[in-house]
Amino acid sequence: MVKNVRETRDISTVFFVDPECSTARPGQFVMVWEPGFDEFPMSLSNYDAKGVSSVTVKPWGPGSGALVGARRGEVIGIRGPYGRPFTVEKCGALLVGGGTGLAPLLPLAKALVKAGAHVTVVLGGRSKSDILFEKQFRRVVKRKNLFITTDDGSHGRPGYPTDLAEELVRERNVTRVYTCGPEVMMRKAYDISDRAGIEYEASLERSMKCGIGICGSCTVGRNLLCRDGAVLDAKALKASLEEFGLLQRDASGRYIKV
Amino acid sequence: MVERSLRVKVAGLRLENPLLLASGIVGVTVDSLTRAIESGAGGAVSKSIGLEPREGYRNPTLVATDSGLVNAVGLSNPGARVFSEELAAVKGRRLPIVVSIFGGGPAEFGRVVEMLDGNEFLAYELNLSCPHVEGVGTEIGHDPEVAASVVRSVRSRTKKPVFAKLSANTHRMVDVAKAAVDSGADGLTAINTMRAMTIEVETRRPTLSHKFGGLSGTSIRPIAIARIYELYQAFKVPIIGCGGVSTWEHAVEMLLAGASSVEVGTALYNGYGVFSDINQGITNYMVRKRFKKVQEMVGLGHKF
Repeated sequence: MVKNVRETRDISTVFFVDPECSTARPGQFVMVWEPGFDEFPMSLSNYDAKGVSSVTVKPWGPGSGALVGARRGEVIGIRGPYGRPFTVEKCGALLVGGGTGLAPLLPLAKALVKAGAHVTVVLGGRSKSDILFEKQFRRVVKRKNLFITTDDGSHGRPGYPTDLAEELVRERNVTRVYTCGPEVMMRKAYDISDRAGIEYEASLERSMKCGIGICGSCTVGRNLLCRDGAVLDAKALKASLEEFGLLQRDASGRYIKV
Repeated sequence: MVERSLRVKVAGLRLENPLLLASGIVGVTVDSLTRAIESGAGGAVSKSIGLEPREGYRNPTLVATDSGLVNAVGLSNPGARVFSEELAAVKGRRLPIVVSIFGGGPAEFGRVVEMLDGNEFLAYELNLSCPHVEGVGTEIGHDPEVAASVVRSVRSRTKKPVFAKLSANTHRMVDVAKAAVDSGADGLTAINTMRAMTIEVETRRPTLSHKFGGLSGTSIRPIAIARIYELYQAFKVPIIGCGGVSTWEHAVEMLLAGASSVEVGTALYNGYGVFSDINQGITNYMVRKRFKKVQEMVGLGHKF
């Protein structure tokens, strides 16, 4: 663990060195072990050729709580990178993210721009102080292609990122929607893409134990999120619409609301 | 591609092929069991179901080593009532599902059976061998008398075949197996994971939150082969082999040791395609060695 950067009032980006992460692709995740507390899946928000990588975390449990407060020199365990990444190709890309869901969209935006895609980004958050990575995204995409929405209207357009996404899908030549954030938002983005007949990929989150396709905790329908995801496309989600955006299984395997 | 029937009959269970998804691997939901079956498994054993829902242990619950996987998931399961509802939802599809169950004693096993038994599934596998959950694992499965009372309790409540899954962590395994068979078990499953631990050197901590877990993967296969060989010598009931099978050679080896069918677990690490790969390998071997039925191979390693 080499650096801890406070991003918003409750979100931090924790940088660490892990040579295996140098080969990561956008949307892949790692299992982060905070010794003595917990181990949990996190999307990579940065990685480079030297293996300097990061996860961007909001405290929600004992493990993530400890990670947010981690200091330089502390040892954390990293397994991975795991999972199916986002598709990176030349396309009309619309990235829709909310809260810490913006973490995997940052390396995705960089990779899409590099691949020659036309990239539009919508950053969502509750209020101005919750908007993550505004500066970082500004370095990647042009001003006219970066949009911000806040629930309370304190920054950018008032409302949800999906409201704006719906307009952008109509007005621009969007061929694929990429999304990560609250699942209800991702479901809305799915419905928008489905109606418009365009491609769609979302990075989901589930209760995960092994991370490598063995324990069966992280199912979304028949998909094992750790192996078949964490990025699922419209085809995989179409078969799981009774769950997606509505239900998830807890650590025991019972359904609870997302 | 040469066709050969891989059908087997194991204590009344008719399976399309000798491979079963092992208990504890992905099978916490009926959706996942179905996917294993549609990927080529002859049957699928559920994760162990208990009376009440259990979340299992805090992570880390699994650690991958160069000798295999060590896990202490902690018998997480949705509980018999919820699992029964999931089974009810696939009624009429005749899915070859075996339900693994666990409990803290004969009464608890009995209640789990009462809650599940009306559903459509092939058989029970009694988990008498979890190496890392106190009160429901070794305490039950290392003591022949307790094991006997558990099997009797289950036997008296169901007409479905009952398999007792044994632990190789005790020198009394054959005694436990005898107690189970004498109490009405239709077959034996051997083996479960081997009790194990890892310690992470940078932090000097046992890696798993529960400290102790169970080792699975190819490194335990020779242990399983020895135990299956012993059981085949001692008993007439069919044996389901389990432990470190990831290729067709491993599966055939287990049949030769005396298993009538073979469970595949940790090898799912390489994806659901493992079932069709192994089945194809068994088929090729049967053609080459001129076997017409899988059953002809069972126990052939005992001729020497």
